[in-house]
Amino acid sequence: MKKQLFGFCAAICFLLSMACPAFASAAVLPFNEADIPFDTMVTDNADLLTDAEEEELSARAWALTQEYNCAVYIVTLPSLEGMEAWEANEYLLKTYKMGYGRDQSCAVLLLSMEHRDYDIMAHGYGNIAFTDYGKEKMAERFLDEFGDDDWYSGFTEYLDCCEEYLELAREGKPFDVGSDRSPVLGLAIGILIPLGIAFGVCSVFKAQMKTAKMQEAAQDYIDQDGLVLTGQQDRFIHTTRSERYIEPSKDSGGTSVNSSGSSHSSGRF
Amino acid sequence: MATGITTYQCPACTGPLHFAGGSGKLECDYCGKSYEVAEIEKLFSEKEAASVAAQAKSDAARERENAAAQEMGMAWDDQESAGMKSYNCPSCGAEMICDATTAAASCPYCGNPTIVPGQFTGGLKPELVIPFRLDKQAAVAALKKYYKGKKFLPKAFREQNHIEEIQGVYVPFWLCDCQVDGSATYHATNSRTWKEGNYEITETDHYQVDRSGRIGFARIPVDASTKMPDAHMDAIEPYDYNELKAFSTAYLPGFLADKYDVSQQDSMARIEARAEKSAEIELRNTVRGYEAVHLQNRSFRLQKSNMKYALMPVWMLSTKWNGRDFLFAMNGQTGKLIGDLPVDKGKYFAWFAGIALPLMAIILGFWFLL
Repeated sequence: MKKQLFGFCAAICFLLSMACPAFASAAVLPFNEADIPFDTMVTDNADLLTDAEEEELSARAWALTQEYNCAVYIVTLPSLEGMEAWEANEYLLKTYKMGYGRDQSCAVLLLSMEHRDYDIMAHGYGNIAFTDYGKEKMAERFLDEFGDDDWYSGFTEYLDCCEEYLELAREGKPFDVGSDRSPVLGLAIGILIPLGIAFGVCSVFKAQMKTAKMQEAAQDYIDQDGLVLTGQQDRFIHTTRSERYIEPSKDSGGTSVNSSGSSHSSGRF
Repeated sequence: MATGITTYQCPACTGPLHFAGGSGKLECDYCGKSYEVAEIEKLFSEKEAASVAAQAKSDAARERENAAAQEMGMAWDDQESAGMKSYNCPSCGAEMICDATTAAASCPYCGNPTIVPGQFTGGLKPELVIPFRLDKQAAVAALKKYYKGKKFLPKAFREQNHIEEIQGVYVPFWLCDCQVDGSATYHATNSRTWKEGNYEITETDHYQVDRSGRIGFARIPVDASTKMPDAHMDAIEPYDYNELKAFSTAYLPGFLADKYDVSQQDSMARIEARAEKSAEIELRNTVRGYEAVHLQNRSFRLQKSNMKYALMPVWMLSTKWNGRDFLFAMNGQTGKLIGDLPVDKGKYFAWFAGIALPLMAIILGFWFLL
């Protein structure tokens, strides 16, 4: 199966380079840091994009790759041939030596049309820029478009997201849990909670200054017999049942890397 | 000479006697001798009776004088004289103008402790008294201790406070024996919770719980003086009733005392509210085995069985600061001290800012920098 997949991809790459001589020549443009052909940026084996769309997306992905030294790929397949989406992604990475530099830094979005599976894979430096939380949020951004079969918009969202994440990673603040916190909410929490705590503590101290209080009950004066119960009855009435949806717990950030050195976020669209 | 008020004089030196809480005896300020309460009661019973008669005579004479003065347009008007009474100090002869409810006081001129026995005769006589057990030194020490650790207390208040002016007062109380019969209905629930996939399932069993019963109360106290704030008198409870004694004016010298000016009937509303609240608490405590219990309705009926008039020992300090009155009260038997203190706004805001600002820095720093 793996041989078939390899052959299929190679054929697609060859056809692409033949069909787009302009971009084929662009692929040999000087790129000092690594040898990443332009036409490998977008591999549309499922034939979801027009040639023009594919060229446009390839150009954008290639520019990002050059800018951030981290390859950004889009791969579509008609079928996974029995593999999981993440397995297929890792197979392609290993087989075609995808990625930039020795550590094969990259981000790959793979779509398979048979069961409408997707997988976002990060490798090398990509694991720093594309955290688990980042990949999860990225998927939320393009899943609606893919759900509507709006492939070009979905891939554009993916590339926009890649650019944002790579830029943040270059600034030393990879997009992770908390990166999308609202500043207004931060100000509200940062001001209101301390005010509330200070008010609570001061209220406790202030309460010590006022100790004259009316007695509400007369517990100290109950006679030695105490309460004499003259009647008691406990009657079962009915049972009610309620259900509450539990939100999956959010992780604390970072990237979970497997033994192959890759991290994934998979699902269906 | 009978003057309407009595001073207990030392049989040995005729010096004034005062009741000492520590020893439970009457002690002479001059020769230091001490006497049992019963001993002095016996000695002065005749003198007290004469004082009562003299006071009645004096009141009648004063009424005649007032009528005459009224005719001449020289009398105090009704508002001025309302609630006032005058006595002559048997020690120095000075005229003392007192509140109509005053039953024991000290002469402002010679400091002689005096008793007005007529305030406590016939139906006005208290049946019971708890004598002072703690003396003035203990009260002053307790008040100083009370000020400690109060973070918002103005320093000036502590320094300008005339703690030494604290006074021992026998406060009139009604002690009520009663019984409450009643019933209450509750809605009680028990719940079980478990998970099924991404759902949390909760099943709740609902019950109606009915309880009825009766509960007796012995000597619920309620202060019978309009001069005493109810909150202060409630807050220094409880008293140890094992030390209740049959009333005698011999326990009063050296302290102030008032007779009641709130009737039994007027006190019943507070007694009823407290007794019913306790009945509600006790009934609720019998509802066990449920995770949540909510009162749905309740119905109580109070039956008063007995009410006694008693005097209770209270150390009191009334002080003025920055135009406001502050009153402290200490249980003269148990030493429980309560009172409202002024709050230094500067200290309050310093503490507020000291807590809020560092927390803001930490939370905002965490939010925006990490």
